[in-house]
Amino acid sequence: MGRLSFDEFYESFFDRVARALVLAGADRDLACDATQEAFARALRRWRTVCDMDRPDGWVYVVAMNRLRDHWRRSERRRERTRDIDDGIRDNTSGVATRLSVRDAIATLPPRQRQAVVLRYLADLPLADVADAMGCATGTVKATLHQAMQSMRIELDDEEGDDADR
Amino acid sequence: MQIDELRSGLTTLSDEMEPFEGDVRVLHRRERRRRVVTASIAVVLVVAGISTAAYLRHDDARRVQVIAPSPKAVAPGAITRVDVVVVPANLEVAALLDASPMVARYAHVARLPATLGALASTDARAALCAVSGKDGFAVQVTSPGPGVGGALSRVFAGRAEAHALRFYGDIEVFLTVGASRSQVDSVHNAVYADGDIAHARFVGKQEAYAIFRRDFANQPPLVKSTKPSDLPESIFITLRDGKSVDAVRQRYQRLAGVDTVLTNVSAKLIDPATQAQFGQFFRSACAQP
Repeated sequence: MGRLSFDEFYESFFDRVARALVLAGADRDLACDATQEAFARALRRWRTVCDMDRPDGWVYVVAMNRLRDHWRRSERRRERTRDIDDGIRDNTSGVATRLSVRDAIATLPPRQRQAVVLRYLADLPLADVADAMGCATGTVKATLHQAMQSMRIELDDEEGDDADR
Repeated sequence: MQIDELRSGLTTLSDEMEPFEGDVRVLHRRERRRRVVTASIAVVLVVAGISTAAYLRHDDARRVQVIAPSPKAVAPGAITRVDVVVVPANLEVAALLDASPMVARYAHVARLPATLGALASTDARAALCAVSGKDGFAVQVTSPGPGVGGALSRVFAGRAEAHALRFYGDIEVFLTVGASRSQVDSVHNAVYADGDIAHARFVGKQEAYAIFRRDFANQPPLVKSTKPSDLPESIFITLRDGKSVDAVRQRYQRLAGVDTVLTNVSAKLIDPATQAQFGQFFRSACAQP
């Protein structure tokens, strides 16, 4: 199989990575910038990146790091929580599960949200998630566990509400 | 179960978003621009680095010249007589020396020799011994004489210390120990009549003995076994500026009753090439008696 060209890679993954960033809490502009920057870095070292098992994983990690840097600089946590609604334009049509997932994610602290998005949307291995979050895999596991616990509770509550209606 | 639900929920949420339109051509353009800018910055940095290095090297050359920034600054070997020792040796002090009409020339001495202490007057000896080993200037003044150290100190106004050496002059004529009175008189007369000589000081046996006792204070057996009559009389001679030390030395070396003619003793002590010759002799100068 021939080598993946950078342009093909970009076309297939730019949109996906940017969407993941929005789900992780970025607004659309920030998601777009961080993704573009991550792809720019991939282009600079494309020979190395394209030989990786998951070139997209590398881009996810770099983009998520950009996001974290940006947040660390701006320290505007509240806006981040609100951005998740701004990012998802179509929120009128929805099934209970989707709404539940969206609301559940929105209540998570930023680090748990990132871990969940990288692990369950981008489907990255734990080691890559750890890379993206700048911590050990054990910490990622613990973070995910906490996230699952709190979401389960939220989901249960939602389900309970739904059942009452 | 839950996780599957989460996965599909996330995927659905992701899919429902308005698509992001990334433009790979924009990215390539940006990267090309970035490479050009990086290359330009690199070129600027290299040029800046080279010019800085060149400037520093130039500055270094100047720093060496700090020791020789004017015709007054010469190598230690080019000083014919050290009248005053000045510490510390720096740009500011050098500028003051350059500006002072009292100074004929001066040399930078990286480590002032302890033997210079032997050439100090009794009062100044401790101070001169204290600066030995330090970085200083050896100064030759235009008109040597008493008070020249104090006059220079006033010029420095606290920015440097000046220690005058005991006045030795350019030439020291040693008469033979057994020279007759008439021989001594004829040498003295020749000195008085000599137009090249600016100043002369006659050292009799008693003064020679006092100097000897002081210079060899740490060797009591030597002092004890020596009497004033064992020592030669001598004459310290200072030449008019520009007169040839060698010519005068040869003239007096030939006279009857003259044993040795030493030249530029103080200057030889600061000149690495001749230091050892006299250093041996004055080694004990700064030793505690």
